[in-house]
Amino acid sequence: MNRLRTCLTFATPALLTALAVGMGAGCAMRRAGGGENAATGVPAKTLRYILIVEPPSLDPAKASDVTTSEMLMNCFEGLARINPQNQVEPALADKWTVSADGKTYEFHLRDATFHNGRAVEAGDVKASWERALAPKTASTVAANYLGAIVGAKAIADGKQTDLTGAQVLDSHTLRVVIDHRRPYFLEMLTYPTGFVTCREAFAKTDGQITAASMIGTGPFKLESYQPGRQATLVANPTYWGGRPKIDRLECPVILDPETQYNNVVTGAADMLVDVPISRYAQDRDAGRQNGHYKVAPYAAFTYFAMNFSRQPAFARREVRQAIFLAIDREQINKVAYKGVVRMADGVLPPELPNAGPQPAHIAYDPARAKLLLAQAGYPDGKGFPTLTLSILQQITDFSATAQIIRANLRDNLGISVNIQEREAGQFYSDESKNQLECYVTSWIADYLDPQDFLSTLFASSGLDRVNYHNAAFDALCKQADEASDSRQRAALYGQANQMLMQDAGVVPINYTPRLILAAPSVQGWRYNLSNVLPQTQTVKTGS
Amino acid sequence: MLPFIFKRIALAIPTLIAVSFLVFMVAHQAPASPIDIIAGDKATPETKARLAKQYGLDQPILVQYGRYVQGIVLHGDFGKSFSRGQQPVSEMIATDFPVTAQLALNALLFAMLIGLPIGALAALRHNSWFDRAAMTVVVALVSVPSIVLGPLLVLLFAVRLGWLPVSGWESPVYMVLPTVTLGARSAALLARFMRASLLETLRQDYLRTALAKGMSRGRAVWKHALKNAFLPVLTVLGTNFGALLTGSFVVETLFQVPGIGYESINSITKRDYPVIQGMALLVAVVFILVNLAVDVLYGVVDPRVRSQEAA
Repeated sequence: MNRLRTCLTFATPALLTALAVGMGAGCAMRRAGGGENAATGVPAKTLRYILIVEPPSLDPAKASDVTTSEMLMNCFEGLARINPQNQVEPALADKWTVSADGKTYEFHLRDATFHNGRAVEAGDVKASWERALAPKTASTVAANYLGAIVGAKAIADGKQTDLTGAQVLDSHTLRVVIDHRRPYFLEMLTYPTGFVTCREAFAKTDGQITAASMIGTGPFKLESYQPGRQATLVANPTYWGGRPKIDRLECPVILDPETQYNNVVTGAADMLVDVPISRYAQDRDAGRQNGHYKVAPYAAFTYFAMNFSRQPAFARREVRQAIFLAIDREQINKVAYKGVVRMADGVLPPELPNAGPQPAHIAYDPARAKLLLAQAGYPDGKGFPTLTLSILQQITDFSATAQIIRANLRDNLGISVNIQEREAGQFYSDESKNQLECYVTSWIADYLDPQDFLSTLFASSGLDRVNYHNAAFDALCKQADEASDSRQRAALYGQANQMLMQDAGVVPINYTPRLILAAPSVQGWRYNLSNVLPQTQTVKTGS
Repeated sequence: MLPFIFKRIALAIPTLIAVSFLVFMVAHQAPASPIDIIAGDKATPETKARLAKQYGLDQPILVQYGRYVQGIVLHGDFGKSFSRGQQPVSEMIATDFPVTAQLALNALLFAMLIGLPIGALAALRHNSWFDRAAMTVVVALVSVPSIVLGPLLVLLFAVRLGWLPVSGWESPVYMVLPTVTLGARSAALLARFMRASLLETLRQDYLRTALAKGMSRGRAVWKHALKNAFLPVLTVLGTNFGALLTGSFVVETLFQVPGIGYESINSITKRDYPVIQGMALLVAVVFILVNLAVDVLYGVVDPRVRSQEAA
């Protein structure tokens, strides 16, 4: 026993060393192979593109965040897509016609093949949409983007399985009938829920898209997937649009913003989308050239919302206007957003197709704000309830914005504001249940049309986030949503935007760009107002 | 020894039931449900209701708990992740636990290789400049949390010097920074403990006797003092290993190490109940097993404990 005791006492470190080294060696062996570059450990024509959130699944029908959608766009395609000029262009469909009443679309498919070599047929499109809508798929967004097709709602409700509004005319022709004229229907189809997936592949995985059935028609195909860690895609040599210029696309999941950034500046990753504004500003101010930053215009805006249903005082127009005028938005954009953003005079980014003219600028005017509040029956804020301003926690831009709003409302109007930081889950849950009194948040459109800003967010028939409920505004939105002429649509949306501002239905703060950091060696990547596009044209110089 | 082990394992069962029940109830009380998070801010109430039904979240909480326990007992099924495409929790544990175990083992090894010699040297050179310097560093390391130490190490060794990678878990070189960050505090604790224990042993009569009989100081320290001083350190090592295994949440998140700590934090923010429960149960089992192993090992190393058990 004495010997055993001695052995145990002094052998423990040695044993642990052997174990740890052994496990480490195993790990190293798993990593080795694949013709790596000795200096970087990465194959020469590999692009490492950081995923800032973990994809909830590989199923395009379930993708509801931008990061996952952008990764999936490299593997799957829909009938149409948005080009770098923010216009709809053909993708799997090479042409289409629209009936005079705007309700019937006839798509002609191009000659394209799935990653398994089989030719794409019109029946695949119909089957893909039926699968996306089926209750078993558990998509949270399919009904939003495919719901316009006749029969789609019934499938989502589990009442039928056949998408009656999609008729296969022949192997290359699909007729789609929608509920009423929607000039933005093609834009809706560009969302991942409309992507075409391989029928026989998902049939083998019980109707779900997993790594085994992730077979699309896109420029890249899945090589391997480690949930929560990394997706590795390889170039599809038979892609109808030509083989991508890079061989591999590695997408590691990195959640911590500082770690994401450090990976790019040390060369361990090549591209990072959605760099925090504070980090960008730090580099800009220090004149650091860690790579190529791109400040990309984005279909998004940040706003201060006043929820009419939670706070009756907001129902008074003068109160809302007083608050609008009392908030120093220039200061917010300069201090909280470090001057990176553009002042929003409305809720439609100027680059957005059919956005119409921007509303007239409403300047910061504390004196007039005070007067309006007095007219509403709250002189110097007397009798005005204390407001609870909710924001997402750990987002410094929102936090700084909320602090400035609190100071503005206190100093200019005598209104007290409590700031409440909420965890993402809680915030979104309360926001969607209309339980937040007032809040600062951003809206990112899912497709490039003013309908997804004005009608979806503020009209009574949409998400109705602030309970604005203005019949004239609703009528304008409806008219614009269904107008066939794009110039007429733009003019109507412009009017609705102007009306929302004059009514102070919401306080827009800025048009928030996307900050994209790419290593200097990465060239040719493309983006539009919605997304960083599939990496077909991307090259890595010097490799 | 065997009856002792069986008794301890039997006692662990009610502990695990209590842990599972508490974690289940507490997780379900957190504001916002997994459906709110999966569905995001654009899903309709009907879609949310349908999903809740699909995941069984529309049932009363006790019914949900009953089903959960039934799944584990009858089928060994720990459920499926809500937020990660229905991946089985058991599969996640099987992938993640070896990573955490390796990180903990590396950290323990680092702590031993650094902490034990420093502690022993500090004791042997009691009150010297080395002793004072070592104990100053030890106090500093014990006081600096890993959330501060980690980024500092990254800044120096990854960003400034470019010697080590920023994050990930791909080859041994990736393990250096997480290991040092996680193991630094343990190294400091071990150094302090080893120093105290050896100082105590050096004052013992049997050591004085050995020296009086003419044994050289080096031989006396090596043969008698170190071995005896190491015994109490062994207990600390065991509990330390348990703490390292279950306490790497910050380090794993910081360095993107795909272990149970990272997964737990991730599942909590997503309210992924099955994963939260699975990870909590795993942590409980690890703690129980590590404590049991320490007790057993102590019995093997120290004859007095064995004789007490026999009595």
